[in-house]
Amino acid sequence: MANKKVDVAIVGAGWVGGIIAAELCKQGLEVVAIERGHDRSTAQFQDDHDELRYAIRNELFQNTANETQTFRHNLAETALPIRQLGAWLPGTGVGGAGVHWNGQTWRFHPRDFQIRTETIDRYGASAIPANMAIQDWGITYDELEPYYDKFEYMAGIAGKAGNLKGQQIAGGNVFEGPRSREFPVKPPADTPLMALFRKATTSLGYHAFTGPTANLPTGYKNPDGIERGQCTYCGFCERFGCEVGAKADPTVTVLPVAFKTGKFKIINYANAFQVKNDGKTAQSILYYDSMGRVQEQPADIIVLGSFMFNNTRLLLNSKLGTPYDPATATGVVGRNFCYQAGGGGASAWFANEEFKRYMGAGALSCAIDDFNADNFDHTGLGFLGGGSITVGASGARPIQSLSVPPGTPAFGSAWKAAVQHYYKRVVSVGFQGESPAYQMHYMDLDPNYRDKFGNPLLRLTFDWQPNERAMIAFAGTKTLGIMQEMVPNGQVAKGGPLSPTSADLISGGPGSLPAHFDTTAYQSTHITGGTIMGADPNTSVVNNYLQMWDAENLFVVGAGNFPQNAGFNPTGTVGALAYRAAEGILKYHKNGGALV
Amino acid sequence: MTDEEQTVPPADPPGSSRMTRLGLLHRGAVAGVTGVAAGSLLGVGEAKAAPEAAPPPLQFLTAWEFDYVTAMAETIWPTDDLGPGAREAGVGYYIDGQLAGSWGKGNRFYLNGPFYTPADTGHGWQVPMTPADIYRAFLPGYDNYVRHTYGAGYPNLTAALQTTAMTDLQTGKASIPIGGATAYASSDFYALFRENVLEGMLADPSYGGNKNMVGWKFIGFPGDPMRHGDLYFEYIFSDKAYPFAGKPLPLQPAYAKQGVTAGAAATGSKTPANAASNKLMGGM
Repeated sequence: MANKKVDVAIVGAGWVGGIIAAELCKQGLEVVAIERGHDRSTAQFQDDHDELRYAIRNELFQNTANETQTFRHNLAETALPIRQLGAWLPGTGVGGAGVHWNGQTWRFHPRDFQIRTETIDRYGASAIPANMAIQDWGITYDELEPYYDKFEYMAGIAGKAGNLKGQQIAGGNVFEGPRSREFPVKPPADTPLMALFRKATTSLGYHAFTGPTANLPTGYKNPDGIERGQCTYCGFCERFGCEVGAKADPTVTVLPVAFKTGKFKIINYANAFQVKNDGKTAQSILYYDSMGRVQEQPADIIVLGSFMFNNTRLLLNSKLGTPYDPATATGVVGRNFCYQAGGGGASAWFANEEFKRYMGAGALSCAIDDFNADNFDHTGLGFLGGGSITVGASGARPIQSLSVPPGTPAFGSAWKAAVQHYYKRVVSVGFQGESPAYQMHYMDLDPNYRDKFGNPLLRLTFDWQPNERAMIAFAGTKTLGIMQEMVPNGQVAKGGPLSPTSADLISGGPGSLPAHFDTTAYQSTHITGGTIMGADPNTSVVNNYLQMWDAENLFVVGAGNFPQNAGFNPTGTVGALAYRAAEGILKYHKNGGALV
Repeated sequence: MTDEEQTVPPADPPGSSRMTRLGLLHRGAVAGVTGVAAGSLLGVGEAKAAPEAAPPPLQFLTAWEFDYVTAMAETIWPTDDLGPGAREAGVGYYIDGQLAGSWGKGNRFYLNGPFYTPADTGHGWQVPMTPADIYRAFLPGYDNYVRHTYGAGYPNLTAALQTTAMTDLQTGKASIPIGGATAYASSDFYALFRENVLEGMLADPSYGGNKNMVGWKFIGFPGDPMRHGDLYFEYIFSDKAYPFAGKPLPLQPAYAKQGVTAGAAATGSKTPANAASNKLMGGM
């Protein structure tokens, strides 16, 4: 027998589920979240400064034994399962990946939302490679701004505006879109390394600013009345839960607000696998309960708020929407699978100077945006797009933070000496690059491999393309230039034998990407697409309220909505879209019908 | 050819008295048995060390495997003038515990078939084996390779030859068939093993390695950041040196956490930065 029908049922209790639940419950709607994992709170993280358990053995992430993705580099290959976590770390459990994130909270540029239009306007249609499938979002930055604002004030994001109502402000990110008001919390101070980066980039004529952060530098009370204390800079953010609640996560922000209304319930250990539907209307969420029995949660409105892989898989398993076909570039579900390109960074190993690298916060950083998006002229460069350049102090947990100069042996006494000398003396400038969409990059159901319940795994088709290789090569020259300014006497390491302590060493120059995309090396969990938003039902799954074109009472929300990925961390935009969807759901609940 | 090369089979059956004795000798050294105590063990030929010096029982590795793994770990992180190596840190015990535990048994690995040898790079683990299976299958094959190539088992090679033999893994030069197939490259085992050694040197000592926090002391990592009190915020934004960088403290379970704020008071700290948050935590 089905559960009691509710107003709204949501798959997943992470940022998306939590934000939507809080907003709807405040308006008196009854909401149930179907969550495959267990309950979580700060109390569980009181002794989590354990790098092995959390960062290496992956305590907080999706269990790949139960469910993973298969991966291939091109349409001709047989996809192989990703048998252990590597390139990305999808979350699970209450709070989702919002529990283990770093807290870097960006707004995408106005150009990012109109990438196709603006690229053609500035460079002509021929500048876009034939197979590159970048498209506009169907929403503008200005339309999304109020929802960004809402997310930032709820989460207590610390930073300094670089553009207030169109007026550029030095010290903030002058390339950002206009903000309607200042950040809710003042930015943290500079660490010595951030100060070094700020000085170097400023003297090069770039525009340095403090990275916007969800790790509170001071106490904060948000509009919902939720009070949180300040960060301890323990250096255990990404891959860990925050034991003091200083890192904004759903369990210390929106979920308590939803619960307080008495209108919200989470069903734990419930694995949603299908949306029951008649092709036009979503009727219920089908899920396996903790005993593996099929259960049914009916609702007037259904929201898919799980991680982007799972949102796409749920639609495909539910036979909702037309699956994307890469041969003809028709269909929508699974379309425009994108990632992000790294590999354009630079590092320096100091002879003497030390940094307290083990101290930090996930989003404590200094950044420049001069080489992101279309903030610089691409004429003659041979690629589109760019990325953010940052120096971060996110905490050097030792197992993962032993960096030695190129040319150092990989083991033995010489390596050991370098490890000791450089643990506190290595600094890196990182590049987080855009990942444009391509016709052949998509997601569908794998024909060979299944999850623990017997449902097909999601199959990913993706590889690095010439545009990103050219972008990364370019980025590497820029980060090297910054590093040389930061370390004026640094010798650019060429490999070969080194005497580690005699000189400052730098590694950098034209960046490169591996021959093929590597599923084993962690890059980021910033994976996007599959349920993209847009203005045209032929090329998008949802409209700009994240309402599905093919089923008006179904909302699909998350990074899967990005038609292509920008050169920033995604959570700020995911949060904004969740607030936008909540508003759309309330409208739909009142009046019904298509919202666009 | 050494004595051991002639007498020790590659994969000695567990419980062989000679291997158990040899293994325990090495293990005794790991556990910090003095030269005198080790000598007495040799003389008596009986594996009974003093209770306080007794090494913990192995949970997965055989004595022969333990010996091998420990010698190989010493090549990665050797004992030298700069400080203790993997043997003294107990890396062999760390690896033993990991292989006996859920990770070694394939927890969180997707091991459904079918299995294929990847046509190109970037696909990672593609064998129907757990890490424990891999160690068990790989080490005898590697031992065979090392004996044929360098004339003795790894633990008995000179340090220089051990480095060469390890480099053969790193580069994939050593071809080690597992179950008649070579889908698992020796460079894959090298990467796995090296990572395990780093973990054994730098994970919390409760996992059996990083004994006396030798790894953390070596690089200057302070261990659990809050054990000396909530102090980082007083240091992170300045050039001021953190006084406890060389004095690490291990994880302390929440149920045992007492006197954290007392520690802060002792160093003249202000109210802990997280006091407000701690108050809030009751709400969730």
